[in-house]
Amino acid sequence: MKSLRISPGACGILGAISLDGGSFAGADILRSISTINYRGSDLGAGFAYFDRSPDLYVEAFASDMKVVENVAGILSGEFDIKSSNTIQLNDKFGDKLLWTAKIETDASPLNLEAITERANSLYPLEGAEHFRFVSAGFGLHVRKGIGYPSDIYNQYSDISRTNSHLWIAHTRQPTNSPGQLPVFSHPFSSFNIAVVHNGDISSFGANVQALVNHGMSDFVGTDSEMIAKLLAILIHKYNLSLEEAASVLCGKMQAENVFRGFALDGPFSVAAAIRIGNKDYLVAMVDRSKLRPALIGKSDNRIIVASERNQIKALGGEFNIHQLRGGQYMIASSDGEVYYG
Amino acid sequence: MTDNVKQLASYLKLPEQKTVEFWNHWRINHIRNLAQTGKSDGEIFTPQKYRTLRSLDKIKLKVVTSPSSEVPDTSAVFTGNLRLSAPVYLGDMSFGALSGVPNIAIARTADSMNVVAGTGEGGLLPEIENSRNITVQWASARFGVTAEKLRRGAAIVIKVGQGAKPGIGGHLPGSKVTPEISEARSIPVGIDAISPAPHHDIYSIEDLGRRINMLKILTGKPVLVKVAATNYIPYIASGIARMGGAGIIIDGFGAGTGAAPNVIRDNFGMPIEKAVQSAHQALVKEGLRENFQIIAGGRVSTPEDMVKLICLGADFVTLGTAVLIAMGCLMVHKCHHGSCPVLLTNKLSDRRAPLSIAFAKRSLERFISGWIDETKALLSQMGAASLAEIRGREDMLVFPEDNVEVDRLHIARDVPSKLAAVELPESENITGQEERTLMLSGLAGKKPSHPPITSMGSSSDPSLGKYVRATDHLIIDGAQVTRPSMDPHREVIDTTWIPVGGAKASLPSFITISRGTSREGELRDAASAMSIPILTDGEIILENWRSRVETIPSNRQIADKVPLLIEDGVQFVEVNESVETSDLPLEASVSILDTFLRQSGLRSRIQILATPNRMRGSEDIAKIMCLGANSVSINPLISLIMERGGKREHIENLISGIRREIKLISGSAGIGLFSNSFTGNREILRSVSLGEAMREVLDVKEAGA
Repeated sequence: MKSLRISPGACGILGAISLDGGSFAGADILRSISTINYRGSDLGAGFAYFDRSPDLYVEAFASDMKVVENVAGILSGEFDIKSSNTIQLNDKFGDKLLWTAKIETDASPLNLEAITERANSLYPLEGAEHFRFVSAGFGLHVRKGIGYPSDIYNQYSDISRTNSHLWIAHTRQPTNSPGQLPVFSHPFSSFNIAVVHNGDISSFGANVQALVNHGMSDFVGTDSEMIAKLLAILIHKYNLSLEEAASVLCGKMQAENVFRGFALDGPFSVAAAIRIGNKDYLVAMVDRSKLRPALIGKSDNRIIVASERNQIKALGGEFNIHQLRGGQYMIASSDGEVYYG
Repeated sequence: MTDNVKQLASYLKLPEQKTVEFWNHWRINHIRNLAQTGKSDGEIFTPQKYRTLRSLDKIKLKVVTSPSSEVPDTSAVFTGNLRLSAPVYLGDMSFGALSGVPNIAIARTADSMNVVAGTGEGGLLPEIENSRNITVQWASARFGVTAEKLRRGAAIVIKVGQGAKPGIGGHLPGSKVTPEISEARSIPVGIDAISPAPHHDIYSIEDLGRRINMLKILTGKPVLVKVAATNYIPYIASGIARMGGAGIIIDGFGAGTGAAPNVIRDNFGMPIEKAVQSAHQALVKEGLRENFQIIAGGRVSTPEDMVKLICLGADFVTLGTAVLIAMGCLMVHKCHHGSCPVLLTNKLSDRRAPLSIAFAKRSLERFISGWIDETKALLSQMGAASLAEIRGREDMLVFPEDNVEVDRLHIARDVPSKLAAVELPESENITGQEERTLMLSGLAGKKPSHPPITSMGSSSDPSLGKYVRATDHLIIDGAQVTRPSMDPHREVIDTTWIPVGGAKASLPSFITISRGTSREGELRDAASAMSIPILTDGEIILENWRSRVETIPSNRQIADKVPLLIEDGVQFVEVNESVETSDLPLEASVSILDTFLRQSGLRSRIQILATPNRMRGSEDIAKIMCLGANSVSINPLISLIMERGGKREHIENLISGIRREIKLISGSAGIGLFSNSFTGNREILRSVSLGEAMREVLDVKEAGA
């Protein structure tokens, strides 16, 4: 007789932060997220990590170098490109490259967001010529594509060589956008922020209006991207602390006029990697009704955010594991502070 | 049922239809004719006069000049294992909603005529357990579900939603829960059986995948998933296909039901023709269309409807209301009372002369023969040899050049700037809607403040030419599969509105009170008791909080004055459709103002209060909020109550009832924080048969787009 293995859920998320300056190897992160491949599909996966450098990077998917050079030319007045490199990618949906540029700029975080939005609007998401920024931040790198996490890991040679104190990762089951384009895969990034998400936000239309109210205009159009951008406005524009920002998104803070339409409704569990100043944070949030799972694994020097218990066990070592309650969030910093709200 | 009791074994005379009804006398008589003769009477196309404004009625079949003389093949294969005489699925009507005899007649007809029947939620009657061509339903309350019963049918149906009430669970009124039903469903006698809105083990497409897998392992049967037609139907269809489902049953707007809240039936869900088309195209594009079935339901009234839906991409159609009409339904909208005059949906304890099972079965069998006969005639006219060859063949259809009802909305259609020329339509006599308001208030009906329930039939806009506002052409998205709907009976849905920190209204609504009128005191007291702000003398007031409000007319120049007002420190702007210089429908001016404020970065400085001069009810609050309003007045509803002699308690009942309806609306859309998530959420709306100019101004996508 066949036995049944039932586990409730959706996409799979992972977040990992070291509290004492240690690190996680890319291979460990892959092992952990791969334990829940059955939650995802071959239609998208990804990783993001912060390196310890103080350098500012922007990264983009592009069809070819000609397009990259064109965009770089147009943006040359906005920032100086100190160095750049490309990784050639190919998946079953076509070839493209990931362009990483180390830049210097006087632009504020939200101005940089506006600059990247403007560049994004120059080209479509797909086709013979396409271009899309996928991340911007100090030491932030986003690696995503079409396939299971191991496919993405193998596409990008740097993941296996990387040891980082802060990672997030994702395996995807598309529910409201196509699963053939790597730009729809997670993580999504805004300046110094990367987000992975499991859910389907029912307040999407209202949240997007809130972004438009704050001057944002160019979206790939998924609810997960929107979460990264909402965080960017709360942190960079209104200088909210992470506790306050998470309270607004979880619908816990009484909506003051400016934050109307910011609360997330419907099912979600989110893991976000964020750098503010010289501190790095891992944030976990879950919806009021707890319609998506979010587990926290704690050890003396590490905090893990996961969809399922086996992801935490796959990392080895002793963890004290508990669930986030409905509407709860957790914030852990790279210097060892852990805060729940 | 003893033999010496006289049985009902004939059709009763159709009563006059006092409200506009999709199932008009022509449609009913057409079905009766098929069911009496078993043949088509030759009138194979619905006469122009009896067509409605739904888009399917405006699509035409391409006919050839020399019809084929060969007999066309109407057969179809159901979920890969049953070859049937026609792609006809007799809708999922439960034992309980129907009174037993019809259930038996349906299941036996499915076997004898070789079509398939769904048995609905609530277990199987012993009399039909051995039927071959039935599907067994796995619904959110699991009524009557056992592993043994699940293995009985040809396939299993996971019921996520239904067209009449997307996002709302099954509802069997307590008056119909008799000892027999209690036995079949394992529930107490006499208590309303309200199934949970979502399956509490299916909150996502992946959860659904696990349930499909589990049921396949448990029974070895193919698993179908029944959903209501909503905005994300293409993603839902491809998700179900990816998760190993054998097919999707899509139930469209206006589909039948034994009991559904009026406010949900009339405002949620997409017309089936739009849903089938977009689901079919998405599946083809993703390479998932092979070995997967689309079963389409919701107002399939003639073989012509079926053939068109197949051309748009359906494999099967479901017939529910048509089946009841074939067995004698008079369309008197009484199913939820259990007092059906033709004994189809009456309660079982009711020991009136029973419906003759021989009559019901014979009528239904002839109806199916007639249906097949007429389908063959249609195929010949089209020059097609079989139904199978026309599936997905949109080129066999003639689409209307313009499928929008622009003139009806009195809107100049070429460019939005012409909206200036809008002539506001006169408020029509809206009997059905007035009745709803009066019922909520307690001036009509027995249970004040309870959202009125309705049943079979389809008597609302957007397709019947009876409208109150342009908002009637906007449908709200019900949460299906990718996220769960929320159940106001069991979960917390927050309907409060916080105009400023410290002031908390129970609803995003307000009441305008003119000082010095005779009823002023009563209105103030009711508003205060129900925590609803009042607007009086240019101020909005709630308990100890008050703020200045600037009132502007609903017209094209709406945005001109606003920057000055903001400089002046005004935080609340009331757009009032009754102000004399108004020349634009409120929904349009609110949308224009909201868009202007967003584009100029001023949106968070101003709250928009909207005062309509006419409205249906709570759905207009929700829809006008989606278009940008922070709060919507309920004065038109209150005026109606006052005119009918209502007092303070009736106004309080109304507000309490609106709050319940808003919770149903919010929950059905999967939204727990109503104010936060509805304001400006145009994504949750789709338009149906709305003029292009108006659609552009409202910035709402078309259904199926």
